[in-house]
Amino acid sequence: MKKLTLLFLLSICGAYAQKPTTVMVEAESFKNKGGWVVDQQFMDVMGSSFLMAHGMGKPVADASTTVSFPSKGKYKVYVRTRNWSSQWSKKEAAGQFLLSVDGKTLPKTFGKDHAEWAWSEGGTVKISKKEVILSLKDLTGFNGRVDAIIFTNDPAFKPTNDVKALSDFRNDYFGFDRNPKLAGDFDFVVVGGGMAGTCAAIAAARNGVKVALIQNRPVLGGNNSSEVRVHLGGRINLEPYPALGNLVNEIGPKEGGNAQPKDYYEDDKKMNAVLNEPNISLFLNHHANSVETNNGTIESVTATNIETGERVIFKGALFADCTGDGTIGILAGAEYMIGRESQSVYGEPTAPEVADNLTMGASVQWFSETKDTPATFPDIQWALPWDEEKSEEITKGDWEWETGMGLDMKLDFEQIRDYGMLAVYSNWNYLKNHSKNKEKFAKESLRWVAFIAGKRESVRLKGDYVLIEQDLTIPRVYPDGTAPTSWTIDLHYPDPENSKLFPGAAFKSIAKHTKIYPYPIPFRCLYSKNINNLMMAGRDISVSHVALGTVRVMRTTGMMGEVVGMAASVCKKENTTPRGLYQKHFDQLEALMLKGVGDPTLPYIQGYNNGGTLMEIKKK
Amino acid sequence: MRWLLAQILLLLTLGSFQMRDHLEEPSFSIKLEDGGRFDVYALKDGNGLLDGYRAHIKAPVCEDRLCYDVNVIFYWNLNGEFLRYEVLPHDPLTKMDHEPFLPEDYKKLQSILTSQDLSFVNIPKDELVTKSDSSEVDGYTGATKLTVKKEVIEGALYTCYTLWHIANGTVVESIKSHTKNAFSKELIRKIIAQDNQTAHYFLINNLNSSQFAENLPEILGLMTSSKGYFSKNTIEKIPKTLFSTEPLQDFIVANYQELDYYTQLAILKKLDNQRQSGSLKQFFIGHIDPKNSFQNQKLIGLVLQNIGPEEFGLLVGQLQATGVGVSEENFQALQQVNEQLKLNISMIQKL
Repeated sequence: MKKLTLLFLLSICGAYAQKPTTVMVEAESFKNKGGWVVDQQFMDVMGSSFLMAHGMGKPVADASTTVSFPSKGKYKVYVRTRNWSSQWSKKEAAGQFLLSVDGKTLPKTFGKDHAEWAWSEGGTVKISKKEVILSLKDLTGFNGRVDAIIFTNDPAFKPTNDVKALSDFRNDYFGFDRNPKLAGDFDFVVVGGGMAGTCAAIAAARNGVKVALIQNRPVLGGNNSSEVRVHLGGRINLEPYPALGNLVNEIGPKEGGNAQPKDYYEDDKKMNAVLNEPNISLFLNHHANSVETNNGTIESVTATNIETGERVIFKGALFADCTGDGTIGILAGAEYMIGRESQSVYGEPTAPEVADNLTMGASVQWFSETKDTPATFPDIQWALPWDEEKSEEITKGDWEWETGMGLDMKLDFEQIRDYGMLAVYSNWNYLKNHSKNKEKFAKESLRWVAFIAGKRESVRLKGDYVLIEQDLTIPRVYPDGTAPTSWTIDLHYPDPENSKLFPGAAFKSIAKHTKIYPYPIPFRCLYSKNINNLMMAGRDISVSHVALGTVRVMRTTGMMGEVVGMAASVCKKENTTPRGLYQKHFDQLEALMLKGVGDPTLPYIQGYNNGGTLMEIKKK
Repeated sequence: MRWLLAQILLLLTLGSFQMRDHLEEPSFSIKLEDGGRFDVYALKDGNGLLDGYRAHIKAPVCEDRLCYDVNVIFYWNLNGEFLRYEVLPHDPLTKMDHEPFLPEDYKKLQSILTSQDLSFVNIPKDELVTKSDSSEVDGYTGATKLTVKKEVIEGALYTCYTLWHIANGTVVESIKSHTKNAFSKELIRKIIAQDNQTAHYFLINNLNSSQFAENLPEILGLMTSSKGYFSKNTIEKIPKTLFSTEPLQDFIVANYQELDYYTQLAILKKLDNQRQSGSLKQFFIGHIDPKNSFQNQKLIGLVLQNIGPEEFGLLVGQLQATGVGVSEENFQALQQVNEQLKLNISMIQKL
């Protein structure tokens, strides 16, 4: 009887003093994403991954999901979005979309209001059942974007636009931070699944190391994946370690070429190579964004699932930063370098007299296909001002569609990527709708435009040694040499012609080359100076800006991965740090490098983009 | 005007072509892929020594649907590197629609034929052009791939492709083996005197043991002025037996410190189980130093092979003075030697 009374009282309370309810839905968690893509590239800056309508001018299919409401009634709606094109044009917004709740479309058009990420008010909806379907309808096909949707019946509630406060709110709401799942305790945690990270993971696994490989996209390969489409560059199987590169040969694509059809990049080949290794636990769609250290030693890395928002902890003895951006190093407090060093720092002939923040840029590549019948492209008003002089009558944009030099490759990266896309759309709009030669392009239709931009440079983590230009040109080799870099010192600058047409905002680049002999990168460039158990492979190793010009191509970064994976096995065996390996056990790494880790019996199939070198002998 | 310049260029090249040919002899012929062939002539210098190679090439080339015979003279050096070409008078090279080559096209062809860094030459011939009907965009029946376009002379894709493969094809190996068969002491010395590291590579890859022995001082001399990995590769090519000889060991003592790390490693590897002179052993013992930590164990292991009492004393002294530790394997060898010599080795540290 007492129990019944209590239940009765409780239910009265429920009905009469209903607690205000706020429901938050992450767009990237939508069950059915339709034609929308998940974009996580800027989550460290704006707080989350989001959904984007990347339709290249054709509205994409609706995304939808089911949401449970604890109580019926009226709710205010907020959508976190932005008008990405407004920083360049005051005309109609590029990306616009509608939201419908339970089949009823809200009158509000989203994506038009504000340049920065912020909550747009969407009016009020009446929720009349527990389970409600939400759907996003793209209107333009030009990269409208949605981070999250909030429904609230709390009159006092207003969602915050402060990124940190919003992040706390998310964590409180979903509780992911309070209950991170333990992914496991590993010998070696590799963060970043580009060529460097993938090779590092496989090389370690084949040498008996238990590895976690964390990648923040659904595919492996990074710049060489079908999402970015940059072909491998540089040579493998070189002096003084001719067996290095066998793994790159094993997992790399057969076909060369930038901005080619998807199949060229053989995403599956890289994926299967990893899945075939019993020692690797692969975590796709996970973005590592926090690090626990103790006395300069990393104890764990935590990553966010870019679709579900769940948090996962990776404990490990050794870590590798193969993120390209030095993400793990910076979070752990590693010393790093950015921009161009002045001549006074290392005495490099090619360095500028005064240091600056110029990095090489990121590429947004694209191509079109020829249709049987004329194809239209919307006459966009928000395009950059264009004319015959600016017009490029081409059907494919290669690496030189590169932008962002002088901007911050992390903090400004959404702007950099968006400007790259804007340039592509502006030129294409002109060719299709305004050019005097538009008839030539009548049947051309944009087939692919990258939305994951291909970065060349951001942060370089400092090791026990920093490789510089003179080491490469004299050359000056060291006993701890490892993966040989053979590409020219290939530095990119804004294209002077393009800079004249677009002052201060060039979106094309030129390259300057200096040939070198294959040069073994010192092992001391592959581990952090001040974080005891952190190695690096990829573009974020310890090199000067000038030296980055050669080491950054992907056959070379893949070989760095092979070395770092081998080093992990020596560190495990000797229970030492990378520096301990350098000081006491380098002969063991030397032996592994002479042996190689990839299948040596495979034919050499990667004849493309080997690049010029001063080498005299072809090993393979 | 351009046409006139092209004609002048033709006349100039013709002049040099006609001046040759009194010192040449037919040597071998090369089959072309399409069934044609050309004869290669060996050229001699004033001393009657082999000096290079020449061939008159006639090959059919089709640009788009128009075909013609290219008619050129090619020259190679002793080790098969393509040097230059000459065009015959009244038979200029042409591009699509029989447009004659311009002076800059001839220049570009020279740089194409001498380059080993081109990617279009690795693409199968039938894949140079993407099969598409979109003739309007760039005026080709099929569109030339963009990467290819950048490397070739516009409108002369197949001329560039065909001539590159003739200049750098099977003829290269034939030339090499012809020169190799003609190796005499004088010819080898002539190649050594050339300022061309590719030619020097050709030598070390093709000399036999007695030729190495006969020319050893000169070959070692090449190493000290070489670039890249030439000295490492040379050490790897020199027959192992020569490493026990005095001239080679003297060379090591005199030059070891100036040689790069990988050459040093190659030397230590080659000396394994070779008799070492007292001065070489003493040199290596002096080289054991905490600064050379990467090499110390290799040096200790090597020196311990067939070591005599005098050098053993020196080694023990050096290890004690420098405090350099000794690996397990080397320590065992050290103890074994010491069983007879009974020095006090208690101060030597084990790694």
